[in-house]
Amino acid sequence: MRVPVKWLNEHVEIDDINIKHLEEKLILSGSNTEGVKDFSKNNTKIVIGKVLEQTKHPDADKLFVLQVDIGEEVTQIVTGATNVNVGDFLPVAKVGAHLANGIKIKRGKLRGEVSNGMLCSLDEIGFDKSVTPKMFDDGIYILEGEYKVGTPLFKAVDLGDFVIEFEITPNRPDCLSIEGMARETGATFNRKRKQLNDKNDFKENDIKKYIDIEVEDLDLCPRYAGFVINNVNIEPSPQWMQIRLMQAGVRPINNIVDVTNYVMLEVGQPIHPFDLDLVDDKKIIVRRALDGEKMTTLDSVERTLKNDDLVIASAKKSIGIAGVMGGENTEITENTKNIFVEVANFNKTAIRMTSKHLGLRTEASARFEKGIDSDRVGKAVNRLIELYSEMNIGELVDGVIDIYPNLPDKKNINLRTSEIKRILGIELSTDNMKEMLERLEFKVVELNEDDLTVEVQSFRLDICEEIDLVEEIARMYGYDNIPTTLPGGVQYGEFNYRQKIENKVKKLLVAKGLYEISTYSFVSPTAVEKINRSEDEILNKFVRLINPLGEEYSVMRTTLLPNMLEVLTRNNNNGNDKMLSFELGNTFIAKSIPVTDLPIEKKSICIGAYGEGVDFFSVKGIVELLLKHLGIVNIKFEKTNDILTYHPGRLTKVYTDDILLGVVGEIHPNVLENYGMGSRVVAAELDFEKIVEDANLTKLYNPVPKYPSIERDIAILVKEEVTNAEIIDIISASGGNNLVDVKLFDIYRGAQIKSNHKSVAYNMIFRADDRTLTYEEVQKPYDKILRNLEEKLDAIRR
Amino acid sequence: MRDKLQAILKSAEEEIKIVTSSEQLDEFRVKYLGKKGVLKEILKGMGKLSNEERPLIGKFANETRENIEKHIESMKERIKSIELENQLLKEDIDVTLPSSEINIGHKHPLNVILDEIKDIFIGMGYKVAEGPEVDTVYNNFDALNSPKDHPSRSLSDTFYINEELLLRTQTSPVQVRTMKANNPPIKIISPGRCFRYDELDATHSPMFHQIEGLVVDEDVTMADLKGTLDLFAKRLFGENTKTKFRPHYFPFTEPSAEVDVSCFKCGGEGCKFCSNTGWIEILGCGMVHPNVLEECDIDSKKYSGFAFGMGLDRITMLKYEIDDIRLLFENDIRFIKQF
Repeated sequence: MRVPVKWLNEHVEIDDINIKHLEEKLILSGSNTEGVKDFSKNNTKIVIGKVLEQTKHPDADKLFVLQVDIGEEVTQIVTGATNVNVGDFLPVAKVGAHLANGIKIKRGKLRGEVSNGMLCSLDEIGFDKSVTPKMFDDGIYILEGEYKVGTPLFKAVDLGDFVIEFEITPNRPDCLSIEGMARETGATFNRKRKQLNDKNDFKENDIKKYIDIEVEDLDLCPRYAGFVINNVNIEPSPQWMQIRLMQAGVRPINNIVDVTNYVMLEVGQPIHPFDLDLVDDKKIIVRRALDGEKMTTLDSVERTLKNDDLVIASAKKSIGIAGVMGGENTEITENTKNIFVEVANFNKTAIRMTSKHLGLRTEASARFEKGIDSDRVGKAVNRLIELYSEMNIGELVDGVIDIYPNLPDKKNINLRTSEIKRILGIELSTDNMKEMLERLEFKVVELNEDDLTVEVQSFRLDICEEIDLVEEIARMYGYDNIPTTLPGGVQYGEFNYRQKIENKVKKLLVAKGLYEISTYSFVSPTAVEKINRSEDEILNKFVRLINPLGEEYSVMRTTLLPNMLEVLTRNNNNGNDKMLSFELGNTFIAKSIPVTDLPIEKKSICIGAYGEGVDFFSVKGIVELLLKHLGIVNIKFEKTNDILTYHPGRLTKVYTDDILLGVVGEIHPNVLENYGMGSRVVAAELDFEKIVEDANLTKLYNPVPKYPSIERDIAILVKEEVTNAEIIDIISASGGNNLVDVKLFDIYRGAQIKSNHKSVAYNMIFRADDRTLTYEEVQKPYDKILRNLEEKLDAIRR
Repeated sequence: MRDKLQAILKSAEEEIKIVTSSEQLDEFRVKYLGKKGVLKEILKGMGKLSNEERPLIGKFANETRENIEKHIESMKERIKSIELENQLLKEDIDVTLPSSEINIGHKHPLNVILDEIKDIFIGMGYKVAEGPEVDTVYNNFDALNSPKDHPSRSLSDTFYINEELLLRTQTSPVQVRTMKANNPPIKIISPGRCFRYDELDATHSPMFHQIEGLVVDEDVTMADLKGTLDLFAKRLFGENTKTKFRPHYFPFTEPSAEVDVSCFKCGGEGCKFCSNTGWIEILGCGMVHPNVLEECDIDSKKYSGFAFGMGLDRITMLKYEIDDIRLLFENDIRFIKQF
């Protein structure tokens, strides 16, 4: 909502208040702004000049040479403008002036003729072309009336007025008007506002002779009023009105339309004028449209209506879509003689639905959608008649039609001091509260020691219950003045168990050199195909958006891996030669297709790495360390080749006991190719929810060994396919109670080794807690281990 | 014999002066004090001495030996320190050579700031509540007093799965879930991902992060809200940070406010980060609307509460002076490395 300050000042006197202060105080009382536009900034060098002479340029057909009186001198200006005449007063940008479009005026010559300055158009002064009158579209702005030449433009006319742009919140449609903002301003600065004439008891008198109105659907049109002007004289509206409209962001058209817009901005009531001679039988019916009824609106678009749409119709056809846009068939034109001016109130939901299905949003529909009280119709009618009379537009027919059968109920709300204390934490007397509420023009109808009762004015559609008044008190009291305290009560803060695990996971992975990434929760459905898993039933249970930003963001991710691969590829392509990273994020699996319930949403950990030093075992190591760090025991790795995303020979499932926690593997070359990834990638996917279930953060002290341990090594030759896990299992099972640790420390394949065989060496540690072990106590299990290895694996001792 | 002993001592004292290494010192010891050393040789003649002389010479011989041993000991110390000196000299290095590569990973910048914020609120007695990214229209809008025709519900503002399910546009549905599942007192923050129908550009992302807070108890007032957020702002942005509460409108709170903090870049003087206003808008907040409390089965006559919400992405970008939101989701290692 753009409010020219001089217009506001007509309603509440504020011209003694500094603009900065005015803005700040209004912000703090609840009228937030998006800034103040100052047209006159740096523009003292634009002055009013008078054209004394106009001659054709000797060397250019399309140029004129003007002698312009600018006060201190008569200066020569060459112009191409064709709308300038001798005697015109107009804005002259003197040498050194800066125009709104960034141009700086310099002394110059045009085709050999001296030109000292420039005549200005409205956009050069700072108005957007969308709000300037068509008549000045390609020309110089010619001023109305006479002026002292040489006066700075912005001092002589209101063109340079400050315009405050207010951000009106959806609960305050009443503030979408100069009157509404005057009310807020008056309340903020505790000043009385000039009340508009709100006489509401209209008489029909002569008007019946000129028009007949019938409202069929009172549920959608609670009030319909209007009046007639005959023999109108259509011309541009006065300059002061045009300037205010432009400042408020509305393009001046002609006197009839401009007044309707002016009153709409001032009072907040949309108004529509019809060419009365084009209304068949001089009869207006407010009714629901027929299904499929067609009508061409003012913007020359043919619209197809539905039965829920409300139309203004003549006896024969629709002539306007109620509250949205008028019909082309009754538009005001240069030839219009007699007009009917409609001032009506329409149901906000109906207007919203109509505007939505037609895809047609107008200033009027936007205002009706937000809600307008029907009492405002009267004020608008009074103001319209006042302005039309002042401007002597035509013969105003005596009388106003006003169909308003059901007056709205008055709302009374009780407000207690105790509630103010309970919600705001401040203590106020009812006298205090009354004073604040009256500043906002609420009527206090009952005043007690501990409470008061307010009659809500009809324009405050947002005030429905006590809490609404508490808010009014808060902003009048000033949020600034409310003290700062902290909530009482004893509450302790902490992370819950799951969050503690999450924190530990992240901390460990970062400590081990991994970078945390964050990627979108929605992905392309082709992501699953890209990782070779189109056959995977679970991963294809997509939660699909009905209105995605594009196919690539159209389903919720069922796995974190595709995003990880994208990030790694991007980094590789960006020349980052190594990356270890992880993401801890949600995956979404639909319970059914199409989706009817909330999906299974659970957290998952994805690790991905490439570059020097990265191989299957380094990532496996990170995973193993992570699980151990979380107190997960009996971790097992089981080779598998049934996940097509991964290299069939380099993939393991990770278990604790029999619970699958995830996988570690090298990404399949085909998948890498799908991503255009030039480096090998090793990844791990872990189920965070399972990890939380199996983690154990309890720590118990284990005595530090008192007796020395004995280490023995064993080197054996085994067939290539024998796995480390098999050997360790046999050693562990045969080593007896005193075997506390066994580790592979060497694998050798070479000339001295039979083909298809490998030599493996293990280090074993024996220890007892209560004594130093004897040679025999170690040798016996050692022999047993060897025997078992020989028997079960055909191992040969080396 | 005494003379001989004296001569040995003398020659030993001379000889030890030229000893420069532990090896030479060992040779010296063997030569004088060894089993076949000169001292032993001389003492072989002890038997020939008279009974009177023997103890005297014996004593003298012992003194001589002790003397030599003393010399050896002190020489040993000297040689040890010389040898150490030599070793240290040999081990001299160019300390400006590059360090060994020791790597640590990095958290994502959003989570660095999020952790900071969580710590602040945990310190103030809050717990962290979480909820799903896909939630119901009811939890995201209806229960929060959002009008049925509110523009934020439209397909051009919110991502929908179907008529009842959507991608949450705020973390407030977590507040609804928390209130429905717990009785007051409630004191939580709810951080998380949110989604709004915005094309990705330098300042918009269809996915972003919010942190909301909720306190519900008896006698929770707007003064408590002000105090809480003022303290929070000082903890996050610095002790000298000031806050400004401007009235605003949200359907789920009343009274509602927007909160500006004094610009933590320029201290309020005016700079490019605060568009020369000295203030940065950072939070929306208010007293929980009684309709919301009642909808969540909390007696609004007995309990009151406040709620607040802020954008994690915006705060992160402001704090680190990141000028393009896309950087947060591109995950280039050279970017993440900086936090």
